[in-house]
Amino acid sequence: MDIDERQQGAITVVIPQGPINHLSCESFGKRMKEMITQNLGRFVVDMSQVPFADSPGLEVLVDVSDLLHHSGQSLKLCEINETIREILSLTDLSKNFEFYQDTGDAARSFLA
Amino acid sequence: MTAESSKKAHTSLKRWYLVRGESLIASSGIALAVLLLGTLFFAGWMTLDNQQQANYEEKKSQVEQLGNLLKSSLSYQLDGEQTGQANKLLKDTAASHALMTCRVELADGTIIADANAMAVTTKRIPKKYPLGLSLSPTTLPSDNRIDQSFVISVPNRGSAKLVLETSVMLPEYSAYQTQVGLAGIGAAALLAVLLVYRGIRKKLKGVSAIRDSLLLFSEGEKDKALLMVPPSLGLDALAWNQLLEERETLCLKSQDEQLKQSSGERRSSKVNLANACDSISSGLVLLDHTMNIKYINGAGSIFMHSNRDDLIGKAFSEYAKDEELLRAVESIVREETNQRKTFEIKQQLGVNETILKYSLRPVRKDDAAAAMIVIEDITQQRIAEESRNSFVAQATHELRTPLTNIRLYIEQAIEDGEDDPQLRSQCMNVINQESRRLERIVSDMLSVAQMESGSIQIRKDDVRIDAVLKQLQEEYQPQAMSKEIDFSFDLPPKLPVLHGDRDKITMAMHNLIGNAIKYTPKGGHISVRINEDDEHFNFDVIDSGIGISEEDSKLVFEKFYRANDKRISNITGTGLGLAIAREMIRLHGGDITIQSEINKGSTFSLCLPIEKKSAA
Repeated sequence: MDIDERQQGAITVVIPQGPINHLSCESFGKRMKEMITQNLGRFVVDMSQVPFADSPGLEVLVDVSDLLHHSGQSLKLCEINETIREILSLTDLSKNFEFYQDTGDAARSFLA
Repeated sequence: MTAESSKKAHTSLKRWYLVRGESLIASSGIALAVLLLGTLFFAGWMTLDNQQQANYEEKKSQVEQLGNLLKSSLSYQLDGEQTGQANKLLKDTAASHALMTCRVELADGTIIADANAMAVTTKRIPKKYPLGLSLSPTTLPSDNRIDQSFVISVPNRGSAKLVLETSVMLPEYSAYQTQVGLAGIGAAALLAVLLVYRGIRKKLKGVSAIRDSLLLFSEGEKDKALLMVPPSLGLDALAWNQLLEERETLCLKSQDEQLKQSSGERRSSKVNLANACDSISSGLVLLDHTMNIKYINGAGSIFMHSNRDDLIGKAFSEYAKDEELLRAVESIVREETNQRKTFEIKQQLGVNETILKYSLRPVRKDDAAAAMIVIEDITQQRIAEESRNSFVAQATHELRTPLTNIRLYIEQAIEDGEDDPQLRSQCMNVINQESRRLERIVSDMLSVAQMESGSIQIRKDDVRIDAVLKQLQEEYQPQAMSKEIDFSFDLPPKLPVLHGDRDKITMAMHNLIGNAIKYTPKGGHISVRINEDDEHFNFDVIDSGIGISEEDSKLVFEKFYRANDKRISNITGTGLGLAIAREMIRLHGGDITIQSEINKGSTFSLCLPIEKKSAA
């Protein structure tokens, strides 16, 4: 899966391109774990290019968030679309993540 | 105390010489056996005695009859001095009746006739018998001997004495039979007692063992091993042991629970503390006096780039390489200093530079941990501080430029304006423009503050687009002309009336056009195009400016963002305008998007939804 990245201040914005599903979730999860060690968890995920996520994909997202929880953080998602928002609320997984309208808001949350 | 100890001594004594469970049976068994044997012997003795008595009486009457019978015939024979015949008669009688003695005596002791002819002491019988005949027996009276005397009166001669003596010994066989019988009965009885005793003992042993155990328990003994009875004692013993076993289990369980309850509270609070430490986003490291890591929370292990389980017990110096930091930690650990110290250490991780803040705190307690280190990731704070500082610098500059202009033109108007009305009105014009610019900057800053706090309110006015455009044209046409920019409007025949906050929508449009003029070099052209469909109102500003790179185009809407581009280094700005404009339009449900090609120009598109009047 293609994953774009850009810096916003000290924050890395990770922009996965395409759905997070059983085909892509492995490489996505691997990249996320790298981010945690490399970037000390200072990253946000821009979901604007992710049209949907299937159950293995959701599992990876929750896993990553759990990893971050161990260090007192949580996975910050921004610009998620209506489909994913609905999936997360139906599966009752919303509580695992932090949601932001855009990457700026997400980046600012690191200051709080 | 003494009573108790004596009781205990008694019990221990009892335990020592009697196996537990025997005491009750042993005493009753022995008593029973003794009673039985005593009765038997008594009965045997009574039987033998009775038999002898009966024998004696019978013999006695026999001897009496015999004596009376002999008396008359002897009287006759003695009278006739037929001693030979008398001897014969006595001999026959003695033989047939098993008499020991059978003789006729005179008063002086002379035996005149006897069963044994040799015993006769005189051959001649006196004519007159001596007087003074005594009938008392010659031998001592005895149980097994009958000695009977009878008086024989011989006419004309006197009285002689007939002595009959016989033994009343029981026949040998009869005594032997009785003895054997008694012994047999005794043996059988003993055997029976033994068998019964064994049966009862078997049954009662368990019960009495349990009784002993109960007594012991009442004395305060609680040890299961001592209270248990051998399981070989039967079902009762098994049941008792099971009871003890269950009691022990219950006791242990309740003890266990108590223990758990008392220690559980402490333990659970410990666990909660560890969990709580994991939910801190700052790293927390506890070092012992040898500078080994004693505890580290989740965030700490991430800052150390290692697995948490691997870190515990390792030397801190393996993971922290900064010498100054290590020296400071060491001095705290060695109790050389009590000062708190803070270090900021830059790390290069891949492309990113990270700044970690290490705060050292001494831990002075008898506990082994000697230092606590709090690690914080302050990279983002640093960057935010920097950008805030640069914003303050920029904003001050932005504020000072119009202020300087205003002051200069006021001075000029005061000095020369009195005589030259044209110059004065020119000055006033500039002052007017500059103060508007100032106002805009200040209101931008206020808007940002409101955006940050989320307290922006949207009013609902009718926004007449034609009026807004007219105002925009009036304001920006002179600026465009001064930069020799071709500034044109491409408008539909009928302009709509929008429903929204007039000031905010106007501000966004101002901003887009102002930017276009600012970033379009001399001789360029800007066109404003408006079109609408059923649902959307579109306002596009197309310029032939310097353009924005693709990377920057994603960031131009961020607050305080100024592209790091040499071409705009001499163009001032706060970096707030577009961020505010987009926020305002988004609050109306619309959006501002950007399409740009570097060095060719940009198109900013403002899109607002049209509220259906009929729906209102």
